[in-house]
Amino acid sequence: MRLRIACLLAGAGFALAPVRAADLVAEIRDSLGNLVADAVIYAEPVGAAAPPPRSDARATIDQVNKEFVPRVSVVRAGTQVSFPNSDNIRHSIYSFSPAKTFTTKLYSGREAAPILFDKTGLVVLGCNIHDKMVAWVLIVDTPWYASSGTDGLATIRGIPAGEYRVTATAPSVGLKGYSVPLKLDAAAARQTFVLEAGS
Amino acid sequence: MSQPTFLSALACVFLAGVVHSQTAEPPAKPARVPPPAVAPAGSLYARLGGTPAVTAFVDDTIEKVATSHDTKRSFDKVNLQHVKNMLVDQICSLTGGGCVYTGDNMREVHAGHKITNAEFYQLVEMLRDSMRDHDVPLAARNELLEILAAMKRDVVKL
Repeated sequence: MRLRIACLLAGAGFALAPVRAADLVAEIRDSLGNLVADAVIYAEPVGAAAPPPRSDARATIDQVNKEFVPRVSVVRAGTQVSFPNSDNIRHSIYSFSPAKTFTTKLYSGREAAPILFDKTGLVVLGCNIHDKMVAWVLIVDTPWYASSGTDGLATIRGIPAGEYRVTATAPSVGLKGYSVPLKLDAAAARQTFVLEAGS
Repeated sequence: MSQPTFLSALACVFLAGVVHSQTAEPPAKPARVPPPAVAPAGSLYARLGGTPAVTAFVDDTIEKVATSHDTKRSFDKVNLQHVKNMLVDQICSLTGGGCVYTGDNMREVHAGHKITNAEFYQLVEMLRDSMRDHDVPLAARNELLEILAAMKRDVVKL
């Protein structure tokens, strides 16, 4: 019995041993050199499996002053996305994108069921009642992703050492994405992406 | 397949293609069954002038209510074409035009907007004027206003 506990502890100790990890900072610019906000980056491991997704992954896209907040999201496949309604008037949210086709009506003072985003890809959301409302949800199959602020920087924190395919894209401003191979070690890495117009 | 149907089908295919190409374009909107080209004989819908007249006075009314200083707040950032379509469909279904209204009920539509009595009556006034502008006969105007007046409790102070 004591031996078994010792073995369990040893096993746990091995699993909890610190993995060499660092931050990856991506600087995203357009072809004119301008910093790009609301760009998304994600790193997919090459030759190794990404850790399995959490079964309780949750994300939120709120409705505030007839805008989606945030306008751009990146989530892992398998995430339940809630659509609260801070506006407290009716919205009618829909997507015709292949990665997730759905409609959901948000009524005043009534909570709508969350939507499961189970496939990778890009989903564009609209509101049938307020046609200027648009949001983008990029669904990826990796836990390592980030989006850029107005400084054009997107930082993936604590990414383990290894080989990755790192992709940057900015669909909300009509910029086409591309991927680069990147070998990461324990030191912080920095990568610049220059995105061209297109889809 | 008639030509308009064919064209709208073509437009749907085109719009779907835009979404599939995953650009920054907003997504396509769900399809709607248009109101009838010929109003059923003897119906109030026919006496209102059928789809051409109803579409025209609904258009005018919504444009007025969405731009008038005292009523425009509830229409801020609203897809006015959607409101016009739903209002035409609703009037058509309530007046024997044979449409199926697919929109939400009036209570759900107006909840949270806190529409005042004054705003409600201003819209009624704009609708009355628009119908007159489009030569809707008095009796038909009054019949429609009577039908719509019954909805007041599902519109104001919600």
